[in-house]
Amino acid sequence: MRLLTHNFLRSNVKGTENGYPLQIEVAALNYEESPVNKEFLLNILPKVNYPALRSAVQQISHRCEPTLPEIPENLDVSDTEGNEKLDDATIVKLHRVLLDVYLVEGWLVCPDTGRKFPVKDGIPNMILHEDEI
Amino acid sequence: MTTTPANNTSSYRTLFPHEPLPPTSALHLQGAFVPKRSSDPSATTSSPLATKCRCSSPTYIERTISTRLQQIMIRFGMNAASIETVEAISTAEEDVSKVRITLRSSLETRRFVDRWKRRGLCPMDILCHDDGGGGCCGECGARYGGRPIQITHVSPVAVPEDGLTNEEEDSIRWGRAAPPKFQRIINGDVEDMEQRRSVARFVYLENVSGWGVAIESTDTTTHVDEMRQCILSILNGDALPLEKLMNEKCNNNSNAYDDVNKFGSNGLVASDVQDDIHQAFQEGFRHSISLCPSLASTSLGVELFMKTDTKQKKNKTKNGLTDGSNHLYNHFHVGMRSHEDAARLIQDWQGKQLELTIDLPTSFVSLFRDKDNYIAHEDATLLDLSTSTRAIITMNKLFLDYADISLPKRVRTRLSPEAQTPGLPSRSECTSTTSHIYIPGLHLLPNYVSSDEEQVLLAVLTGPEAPWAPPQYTPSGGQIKRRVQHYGYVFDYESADVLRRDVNTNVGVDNTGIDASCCPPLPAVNWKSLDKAKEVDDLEEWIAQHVAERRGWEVLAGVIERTRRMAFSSYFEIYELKKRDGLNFDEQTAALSLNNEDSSMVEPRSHNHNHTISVQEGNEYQIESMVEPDQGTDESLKCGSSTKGTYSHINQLTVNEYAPGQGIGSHVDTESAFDDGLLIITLNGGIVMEFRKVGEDTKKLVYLPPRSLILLSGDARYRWEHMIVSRTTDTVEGEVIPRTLRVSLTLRTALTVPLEGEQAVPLSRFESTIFPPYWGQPSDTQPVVDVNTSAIIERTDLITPVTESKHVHAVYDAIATQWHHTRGKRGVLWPGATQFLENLPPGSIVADVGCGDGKYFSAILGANSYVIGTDISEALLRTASSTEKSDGNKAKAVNGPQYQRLSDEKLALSAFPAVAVADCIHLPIRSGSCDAAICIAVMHHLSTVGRRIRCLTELARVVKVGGLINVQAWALEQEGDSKRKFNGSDLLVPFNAQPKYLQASLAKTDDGASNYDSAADGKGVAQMISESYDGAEFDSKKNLVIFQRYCHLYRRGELEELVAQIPCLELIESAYEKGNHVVLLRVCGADMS
Repeated sequence: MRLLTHNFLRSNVKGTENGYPLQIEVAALNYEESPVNKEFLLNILPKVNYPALRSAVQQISHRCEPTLPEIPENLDVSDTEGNEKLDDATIVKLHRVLLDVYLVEGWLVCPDTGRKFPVKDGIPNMILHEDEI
Repeated sequence: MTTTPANNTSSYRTLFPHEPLPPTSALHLQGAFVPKRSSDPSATTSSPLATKCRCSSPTYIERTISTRLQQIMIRFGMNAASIETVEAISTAEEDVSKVRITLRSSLETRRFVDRWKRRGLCPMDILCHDDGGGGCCGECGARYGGRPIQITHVSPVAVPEDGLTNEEEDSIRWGRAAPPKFQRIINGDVEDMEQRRSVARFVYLENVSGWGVAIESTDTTTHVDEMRQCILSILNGDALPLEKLMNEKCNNNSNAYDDVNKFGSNGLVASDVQDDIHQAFQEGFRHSISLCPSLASTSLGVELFMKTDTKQKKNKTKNGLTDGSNHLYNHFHVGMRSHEDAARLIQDWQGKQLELTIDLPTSFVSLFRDKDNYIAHEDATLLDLSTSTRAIITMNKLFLDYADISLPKRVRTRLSPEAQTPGLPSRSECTSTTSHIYIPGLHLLPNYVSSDEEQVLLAVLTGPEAPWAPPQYTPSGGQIKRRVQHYGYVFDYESADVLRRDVNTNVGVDNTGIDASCCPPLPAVNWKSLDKAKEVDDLEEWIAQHVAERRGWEVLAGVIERTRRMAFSSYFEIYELKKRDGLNFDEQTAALSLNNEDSSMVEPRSHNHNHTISVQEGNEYQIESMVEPDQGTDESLKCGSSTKGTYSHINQLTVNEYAPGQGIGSHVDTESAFDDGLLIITLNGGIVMEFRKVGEDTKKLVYLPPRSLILLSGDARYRWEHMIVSRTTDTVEGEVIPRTLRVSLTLRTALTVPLEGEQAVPLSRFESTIFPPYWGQPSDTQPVVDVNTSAIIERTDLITPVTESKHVHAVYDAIATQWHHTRGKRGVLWPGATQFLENLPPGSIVADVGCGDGKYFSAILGANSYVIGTDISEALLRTASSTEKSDGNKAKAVNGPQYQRLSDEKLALSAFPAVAVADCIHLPIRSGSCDAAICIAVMHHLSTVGRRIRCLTELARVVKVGGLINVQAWALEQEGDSKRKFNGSDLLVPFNAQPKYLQASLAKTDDGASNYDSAADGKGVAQMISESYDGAEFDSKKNLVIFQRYCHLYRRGELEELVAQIPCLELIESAYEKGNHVVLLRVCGADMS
């Protein structure tokens, strides 16, 4: 599971208000650099919840080999024109954190209820039990 | 010892081994006891015939045999003093061929006979003088023969008692050489079995083995414990311990009797002792039967049929094959003197643990003495006869049943020649249609439902939506095997009554505490279910429209209503007239429609107006004067609600499924429970129904063809029993018709329990227009049910129904690999969906809800968008991400042609597509985060309206305002050339799964998959898998597992109706594409939290 995907997932357990963002507990990570497509990244960026992305990076960075690049503390990604002015180095950094790091094994934890959703072979299992509906 | 000459042999008969021992019996030795003069001429001259040698005199023979018998008996371990008489029987001088010997007791005699038989002695062995040499008479030199002496156990023929008259009849059935073969009466025609059981005098006994043995002995010199062990092993069919014991005790002594060895015997052998035990056991068993109260048979009259072939047994034990099924005592048969006795024995002993006391034979007991006290057989006379040793044997709980003799064929023909008449079908009786049969009040209407109606009804009644009640019990405690479901009111088979309840109060909203009387309501006609713009008030038109739309429950409601309106009396009068007049009655006219304005109309209207029945000119029938033969009784029996031959108060429906081989016992429907008029509609498979006049033997067979309706009224309802014989074929007009599944609809009018002096009236109708019907559903006699207002999402809708978990989720998990290989990889995408994806602005985030193996991922990534796919099946999702991540070329090869046009960076994305396991009605995606969503081939797997709405609501929630959603689902309306044609909107669609793929799927999802790997021994993988999945079947011919996928097929406009209930969704476009309905939706401004 990429951090880009993580950015869109939420917990659906009964009693949650937002269920977002999901905390990440890492058991195994995979990092593999892929070709950077600037146009694609700029198209995607406005849809990303940046604070959630940054907190996710902080949660997993120390578990990653090599260490994930630092991304800016504050970035208004919804500003499409502002995104156009981003320097190439930042674009690459964003690409690396959004697309090149995968959570292979671990858990996603609901911030409201503490419910842990397992991630196995990169696939999070978000199925709810009957009493969570 | 006295010898009495007598020539009369006719007053004796042979005793069979199974027969009880009479108080007196004898044994006959038959052979050439008078030696033959040598044919050598020299011998003839030296001893002329004139000089009689004493060796041919009866007295001499008697004396010699007596002496030798005593020696032999000692050798046999018997008491030599028990010989009472030896009597040579000669028809003429010098022709003694038979010797009759009487022993003190019959038991002794039987033992002696058995032992003798085992050795096969001949006259040379017993008559030859020791000094004679060479088998000759020492004086005259005549030679004794070497042919064995025949020995038979005989009894004086007594004056036959009354109870013994069966004997002769039975002895015809089996010769003395061949003991009869028995079979329990459990196979065959029901009636035939009943008939045979009601006369059987033979009883089958099982579970006799499983012994507890205790020994009671007054002889203090024996080792009781060893004896106990030995008896146990003998009773379990293992003679080895006994043989061992015999060898130890007897070997030293046998050599001293060389002269006896020439008898061909080795003294007393183990099987002799074993036989003694068997004999003693049989005596003990007979005795305990005689203790059974109120039996007419005494222990003398009871025949006992046990396997007595110990030889075979011995061989088996020597090979170490002691198999429990071969125990001599495992089961045997008892012949009682009469059926009444047999019935009493079964009643008295069934399930009892019997205790048998048997007197142990001295031959056995003496084996257990100390070496010092052991008395060898030659000294058997010295045994202390005053001591007695008994074994008390405790049996298992007995099982008893009637049995009869399976007759050899030739005997059967001799006994009942009429049963063997050639040319008649043996399996089922020949049946004609009603045209040749008249039962007052019985009427059959062929083609009562059209074949289109039948298809639609079958689809819904055998489909996943149909409720089926758990099996009910009959009064006798048996379980009803066929599937049965009641609507409106429950008929309880155990009490044979309708379970009446106040339909207004028992509205089971909480369906956890379902009581026995609770059942789904009767389907009712909802006039407004059709297009509101066009009011339809003609029932047939209403039905036809619902048939066209494949709305099975509505069609069922329509057929029930049609039956209520049917004016049977007028119809049948004409039908009868036509038939009796010999006119060619066209069956098409039977499919007549009704006239809802005038039920008293004499002339029913037909669908096909060419076939209207009318009173013919010049051949006028006087309808009014038509009187049915039993009309008087008809009228007197009717309760009043069904006058004029209409049954307008029908309030109960029973759906029965008769699989081939299933039937129903002979019965008259409970009179107090149902009014006159039982209407039975037959669907899919025809069947022969048997009618039997109550209290009489009259039997009539009626074939009920598919789509027919049969009415039982008047006598046919009250005075004739009806039944369906359990078998797999019927014979109709000489043609054998294999049965297929028959679905029958029985329509009845359930009655109230009347107050005193009042008449029973029909119970009020408990019916509903909300479909599918379910338990605890409130009755809805208010005719208006608008789908648009009834759709509220209940909490129960959020929990996965069994239909889906069993017939959707489990199936896709199992077939994931095959699905991906055979469908996903082909890359066949719906053009409409592809176009939708390509038209999205670049960089769109697309939710693919129910993405399966991700066959649209390439199209989404190719359009420069990002996809988040979810699916309930983890197995399918794994096939989506199974691409080799590092090798782009491999990715292309593995995941199919659609990936070939992706650039490298897209391939990187597709290598690990963003997927999550999730339910489409609980999406784990944050609200408003996606630019678009697709939901393809998912909605048709949701089984309730609430869940379908919830799915659309979730799609609307995750997509931002203004975003687009593309939904596709399977259409009820298939294209003309499609191989699929659907008769109902909810059904199970089979998926043929190949075992090789199944194994791969299991290996990926299930850690316990190794179980299947080792399945090579014995069962195949496919069979094992089909057994482990509830609802999957195994096709042994093709080695396939057939899974059933639940599908709801959407009618034209149905998706739009659902969308209309969600305020924030706006319908942009509807389309039909290759058997699917497609809707394009836009999320509008309404707040969806």
